Amino acid sequence: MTVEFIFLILPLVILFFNIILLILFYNRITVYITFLLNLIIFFIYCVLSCYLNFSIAEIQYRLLLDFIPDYFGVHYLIIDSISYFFLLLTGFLFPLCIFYINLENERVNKKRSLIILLLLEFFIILCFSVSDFFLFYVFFEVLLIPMIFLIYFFGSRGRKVHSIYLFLFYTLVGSLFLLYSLLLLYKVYGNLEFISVLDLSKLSVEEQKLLTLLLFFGFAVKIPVFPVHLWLPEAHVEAPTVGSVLLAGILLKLGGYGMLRFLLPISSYVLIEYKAFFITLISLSILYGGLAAIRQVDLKKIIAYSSVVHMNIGLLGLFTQTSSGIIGFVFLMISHGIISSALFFGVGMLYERIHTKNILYIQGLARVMPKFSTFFLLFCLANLSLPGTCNFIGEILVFISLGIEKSYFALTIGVFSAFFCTLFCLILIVKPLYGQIDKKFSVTYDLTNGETFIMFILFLYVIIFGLCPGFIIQNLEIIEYIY
Amino acid sequence: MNDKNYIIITPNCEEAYLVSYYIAGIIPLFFFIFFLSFFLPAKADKNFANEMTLKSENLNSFKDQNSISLLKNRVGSLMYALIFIGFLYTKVFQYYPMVIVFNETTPLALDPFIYYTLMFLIVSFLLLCQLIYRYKMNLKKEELIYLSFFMFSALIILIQFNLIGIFMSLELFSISSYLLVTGLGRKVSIEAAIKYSLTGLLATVFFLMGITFCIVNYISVNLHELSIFMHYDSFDENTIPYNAICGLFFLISLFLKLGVAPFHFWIIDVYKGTSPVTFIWLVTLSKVVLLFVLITLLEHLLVEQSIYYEYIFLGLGLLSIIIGSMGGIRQSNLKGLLAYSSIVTLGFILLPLTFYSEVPTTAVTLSIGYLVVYVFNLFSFFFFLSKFKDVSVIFNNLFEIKNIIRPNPILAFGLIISLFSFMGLPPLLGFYPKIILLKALFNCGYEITVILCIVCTLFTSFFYFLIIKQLTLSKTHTYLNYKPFTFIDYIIIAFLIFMNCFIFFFFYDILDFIYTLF
Repeated sequence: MTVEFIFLILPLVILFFNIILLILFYNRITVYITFLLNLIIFFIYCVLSCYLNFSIAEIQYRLLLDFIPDYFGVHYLIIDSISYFFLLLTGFLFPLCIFYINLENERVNKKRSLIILLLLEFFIILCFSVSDFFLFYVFFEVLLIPMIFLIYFFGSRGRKVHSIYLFLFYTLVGSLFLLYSLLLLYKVYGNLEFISVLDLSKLSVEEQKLLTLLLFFGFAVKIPVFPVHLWLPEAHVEAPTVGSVLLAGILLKLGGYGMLRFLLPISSYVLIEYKAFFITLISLSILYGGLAAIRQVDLKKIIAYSSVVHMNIGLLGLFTQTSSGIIGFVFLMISHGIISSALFFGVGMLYERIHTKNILYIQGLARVMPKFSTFFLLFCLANLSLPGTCNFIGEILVFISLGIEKSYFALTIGVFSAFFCTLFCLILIVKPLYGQIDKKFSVTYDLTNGETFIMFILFLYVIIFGLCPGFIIQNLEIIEYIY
Repeated sequence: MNDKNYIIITPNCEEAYLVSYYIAGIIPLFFFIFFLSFFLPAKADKNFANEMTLKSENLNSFKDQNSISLLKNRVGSLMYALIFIGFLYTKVFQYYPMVIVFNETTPLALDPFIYYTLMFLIVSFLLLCQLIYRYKMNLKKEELIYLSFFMFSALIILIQFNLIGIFMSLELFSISSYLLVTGLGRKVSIEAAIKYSLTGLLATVFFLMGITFCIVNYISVNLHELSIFMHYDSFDENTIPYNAICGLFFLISLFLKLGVAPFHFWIIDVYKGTSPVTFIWLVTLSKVVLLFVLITLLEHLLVEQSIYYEYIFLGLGLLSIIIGSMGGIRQSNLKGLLAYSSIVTLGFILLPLTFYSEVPTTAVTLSIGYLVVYVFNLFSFFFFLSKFKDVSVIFNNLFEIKNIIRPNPILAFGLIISLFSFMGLPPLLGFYPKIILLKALFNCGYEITVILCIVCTLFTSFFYFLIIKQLTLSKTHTYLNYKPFTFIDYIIIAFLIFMNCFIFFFFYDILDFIYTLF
């Protein structure tokens, strides 16, 4: 067993056998084993941090996939210091989701949802650890199928057909752009590996410009940026709790990861021409997301629009092309992955008890659910990037980089977004938690021990990354040397 | 393509008669045996009256057990005949892997491409016979005879090496398919059959015109001789337009029969008028046979002028893709929808032939690869549909398919996988021929074509998703009846899903195999 095998293949093998185990025998013991195996995967990725050298900007572990024919060059599985953090986030969120599913009541078909979740994890890990654009594109699209099933089987309401339509076709439209840029890159380079894309001498200026636009719109669907963001709130509202958590926590990060890998190196010379256009779009989506979030009555929709705002603030940092901006982008993605998952878990727990997500009906929960109210308050404060939480670090890095770049328009928009953030987070806090308690909520019981555990773990990470961001930032500094 | 090392057997020697009997005699012999089965069992005569009375009763349900057993006997004997033909051709192919026999009138040929197409057709015919059982089709006695003629002529076309032979067997093939379309004699079916036969006859006229041109100019119908003559004539500039027009007649004829875009207007009405199983025969196997004829003619007659046809293939391919993908969006009829999807597929099959003048083998490999994947997808789709009880209802109105994912999740999963494969979603079978074709087109500099293809793929995925939505997402609670699964069904489903999901690892091997046939 080589080191490559343990870090690259073993999680996939574990997941594969776990899926087969669940299909063949489903009972309490196998569910327990599933949770344990997912913890082992998280543990493997934690151990990986000791082996990985974060001070060199190279691919550190690579494994040739010689059983896949060379559709577009040779295919590898790799791990380097960029993909590591996304793998860690994946490994961290999935055990929590599986733990949460076991806490839910018996109505839902747990076997089916566990299998879909494991399939999702399998493809997400593959997506973050492949070395070339073709396989990235393939697994990017494969994720659609389990996600659609997750929304279909465990979705809550009647608009789920509509939301699946939006989810599928927005993603397919985005992938048209990706497919074209994939073919163009292959024609120029002869393979599609990340490393070969770093060498820009083969691309003409026109091709660089075209690819910048195509890749931006291809990945913008997943971020999502203003004109193509409509699928996100719909999918969030209709998805089950776990689906929302994974959508906000990991699937949105695929777009960011793709931008880091492809858009950033390819656009490094020609971005200056489109910068105004991109930053206008991003600013629009920040303002639009903030304004739309204020007027929503659905708790999940508010959080969905807030994730539009935060991902777009991160993008502002990415397009400054400075090291602090890019580090801020990655940091913001990770912190958003933790905080918005926590908020979605919170809404899910609330929905389990009172069966509504409508903010107009919920009042005065602080009286009857003190533990829940505390955690929800803390996460809302983290969401509006209070100093001391991890969102703050990411945002401040982005704003510093904007200041260095002297792009004052974007800086103004970004800082003003803090106003909207505060506004909708205050709505999230004040409306459901405080005020006159309704009679029908007076019998609602507080968080159970398991639910408290989930919230506590997430909050621990929020505080740790907020107070000692050096853990991640030190290791991310190498990005400066890559680009 | 003419530098194949054929063993050429000259006429008037003993071996020539022997080999031509081997190659051409097998198919008629076994079909004669099959026809005998109509007269053999005494039980058959007793049930003949029953069968006639069924005509006036409810045509879709087939309740008479005796008639089913009779049908089973006849279709079974057809299957045995097919299996024996396949077995004997394997033996002949071992001794004569590449041979052209110059008999006095009708030259015949056998080479790996012909042999494997023959095997592919025989396997597909066997699958069709299986589907007849599964759909519990109410076949009349004469309809089974048309069906056997359909198969017989399809197999005969493959070994012909002369234009007259191809023409005659193609006519037999077309006439039997016109008769098959009439089916049980509904008004819609007869109208469809008339439309089909009129366009078919127009195509025949064009084909005859092409043959006349060949005979007038070269006094030969032998493909081998014609290809040699045309090769020498290609250096003479005066004959080039003449030969190009001659080839154009053949192409128009075949495009009319296939239903490529500007000639596609008959295809929707005709397909809508057919019964389910006839629909499957038309949509899959007639395409295989006609494309075989197209490739044979390209290989031997049109190869010298193929540079003039480059833009015909490109233009018609693109037009088919665009018209097919736009037309399918508003279809509520499953047959109409699949007719449009077959137009799209034909477009994708014709597009690689654009490179025929430069890299003939690669071009043909790409288009055959696409066709094989499409036929596989269609068969798996029809296999899954055969598990419903009211098949004809589903075929006529798409919105009759209700939510089946709760009563029968395995069936729904299989259907969804096969439809995603039609859509061309990445891990599944339908994606790979498309992406390889787009790669080839892009590397040759057809960027606009690639953009149009990608956009049209989005439209096609829209109307395939309509079926998926009906299957899984509709909110009705009245379920259609479905038949119970047997053990063999589970094995077939596992095989189909496995092929769809894991083709990823060996798709290039399939293409390499097709490449080596030429």
